Amino acid sequence: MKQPIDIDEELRMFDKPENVKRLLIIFFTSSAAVLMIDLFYHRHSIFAWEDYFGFYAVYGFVACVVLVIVSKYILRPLVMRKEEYYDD
Amino acid sequence: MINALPPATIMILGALPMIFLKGKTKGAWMLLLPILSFVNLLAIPEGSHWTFGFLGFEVVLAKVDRLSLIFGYIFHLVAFISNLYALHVEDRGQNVSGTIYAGAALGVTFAGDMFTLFVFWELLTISATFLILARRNKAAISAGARYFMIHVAGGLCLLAGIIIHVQTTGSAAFGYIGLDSLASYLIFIGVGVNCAWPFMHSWLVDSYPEATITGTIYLSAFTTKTAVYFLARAYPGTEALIWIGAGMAGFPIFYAVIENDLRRVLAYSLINQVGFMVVGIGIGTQLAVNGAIAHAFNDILFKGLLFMTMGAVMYRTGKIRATDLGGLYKSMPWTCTFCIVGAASISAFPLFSGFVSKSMVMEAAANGDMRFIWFILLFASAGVFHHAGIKIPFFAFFSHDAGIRCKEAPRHMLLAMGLTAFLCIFIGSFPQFLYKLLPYATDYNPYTPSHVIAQSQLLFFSAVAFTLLLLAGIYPAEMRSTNIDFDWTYRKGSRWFYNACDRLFNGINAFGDRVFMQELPKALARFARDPAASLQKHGVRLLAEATGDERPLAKRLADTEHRTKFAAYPIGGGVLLAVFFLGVLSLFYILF
Amino acid sequence: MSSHDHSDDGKMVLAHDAVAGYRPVFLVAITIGILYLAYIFYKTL
Repeated sequence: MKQPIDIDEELRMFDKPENVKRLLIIFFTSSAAVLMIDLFYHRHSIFAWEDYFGFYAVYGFVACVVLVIVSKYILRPLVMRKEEYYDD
Repeated sequence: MINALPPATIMILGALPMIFLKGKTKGAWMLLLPILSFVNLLAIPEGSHWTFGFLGFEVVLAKVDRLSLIFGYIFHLVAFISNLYALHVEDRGQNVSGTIYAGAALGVTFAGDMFTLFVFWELLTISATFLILARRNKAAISAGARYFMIHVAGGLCLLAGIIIHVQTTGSAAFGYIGLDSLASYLIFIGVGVNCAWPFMHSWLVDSYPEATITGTIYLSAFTTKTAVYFLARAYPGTEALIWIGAGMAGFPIFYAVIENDLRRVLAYSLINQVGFMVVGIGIGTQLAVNGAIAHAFNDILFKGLLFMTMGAVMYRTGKIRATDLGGLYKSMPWTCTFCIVGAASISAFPLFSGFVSKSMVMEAAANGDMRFIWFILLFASAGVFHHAGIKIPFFAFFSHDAGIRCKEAPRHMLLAMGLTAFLCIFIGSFPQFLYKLLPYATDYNPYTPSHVIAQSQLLFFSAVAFTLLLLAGIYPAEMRSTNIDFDWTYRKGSRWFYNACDRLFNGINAFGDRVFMQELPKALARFARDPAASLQKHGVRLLAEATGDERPLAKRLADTEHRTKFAAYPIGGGVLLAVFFLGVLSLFYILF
Repeated sequence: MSSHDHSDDGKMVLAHDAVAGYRPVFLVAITIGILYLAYIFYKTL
């Protein structure tokens, strides 16, 4: 199934560096736009902290960073073994 | 009597002819069965049917109400989708056990009494085991064996609970139980095994990624969801479930981030999603239970979809490790699109199915002012987007091009995935069709501006976190590795246990053998060869030791030896004396 | 995201190389994020 090919010849939409860059710009801009909605629209909330500007955005961002950092620097050193760990 | 068959009958009995069918006929039969069974289900009115006495208890083969019906619908739907996806499989074992497995789930769902329920519960375990074993490699066979043992243990716990429960209450009816007695705890734990609660979850991440490509689709749908159904029926509003569910939603996402096998990543996120359902059932309000069940319904679809896309990748490339994949969007654009739909659904993007059900559980937690739980669930919502929503499609279809060029998935797989993807979007866009099926009537509206904005912000900035971590070079590298989980305790622990038992018991055995079978008989034999001489020699030696005079020892020993050999004991004189004194004694006795 | 490895089966590690300039952006963003979140919780909890 795997054919010998020159990958650089096969670069398509999501591989070309300029497209990746464009995509990143669009993505960061739309993220900022979603955040800015909070300036104009008051979200209804149940908890007090939900009322703060961009609470969900900040929580999502920090949560994911914490998730990755904890996984990488705490969990992985604890649990990672070689792939054949259970085989012998 | 109604003019239909008990709900599980058609799937289970209908699976048997598949042994003889092949090719197109088999394919047609596989697709027809779930439809027939579904039509049959529609013909059964609500209420209890097919009841008869058994050992003085009432057996109810079909208890049809809104709770069992919605699970019945989704199980039929996913059975159809899985069978469609598995059309190419020409392996009787898999074809039959997959369909029986679906039938067993229906059997549990509609069981009105504990006995029927238990029989189908065990059938679920047996048929699932065959789906794992069917991969027929070493890893799958040992994972299947572990799967079987753990579920049998859980099943026995359940059975013990059922027996005590039936004995104490005098009724075998399956309904609300609630945590209050030994029996209820045993049943609770037995169900918890199937529900993959923390510390009982490792069978899931151990075995699902080892099952066959198509087998995993069936597996992801039935076992955990029947357990969710059981909890919704028997333990709604049990507070312990809130904490158990929060644990389930929380911890697996950490594992998912560092896991390399993409189907194992999905297995971890399966636990995470079931966690939301368990929390919902634990909260127990109408909104929460509705949310839990709606989420079960949606999860079966989007988790199945994700497993199907990864299965298609595996089918075409033979690879599933993140380290081996990447750049497949060029070769498999449709699979890639469906994968993104599944990812958006599990991440609860607005207009996708997860959005309309997960929020019900979140809102129920907020309404009950369960802050800590709410924070964990929100964390889990961001986390699931991170590992299932981004990691899966990104590492399989984009990221580093691994240089793999292959064909798009086969047509029947694309159809199955396309149908599921359509349903995910349809339910996400028109949730009222799902809400109408829920056990409690609801006018819940997920599409308030506040909710849409909040969820979009959460997800967008989770994605920002992923992007920045990746670009900053902090995102952990994918590594070929094994991450030890709770299954370590029995996979390595059992070896230690075995070795310890080996040392202890075989040590005792060897000691006993040496002492009682070899040395003691030898000593006894030596002694018994000539007991008198042995005793005398011992006496002679003791005497020599006591007097400290060892000179005559050798001579005395030789004398003893000589005497015993020739029986030259001065016995005659001794006997004469004894007779003489006896005679004297008798005289005295007679005379006086 | 930019490097193309041609290595065959059994790649042991798939690292994600840093793109120049993003590390400071990330560090600033996470610092602001944590401080702001801490502020919100200080005010409301």
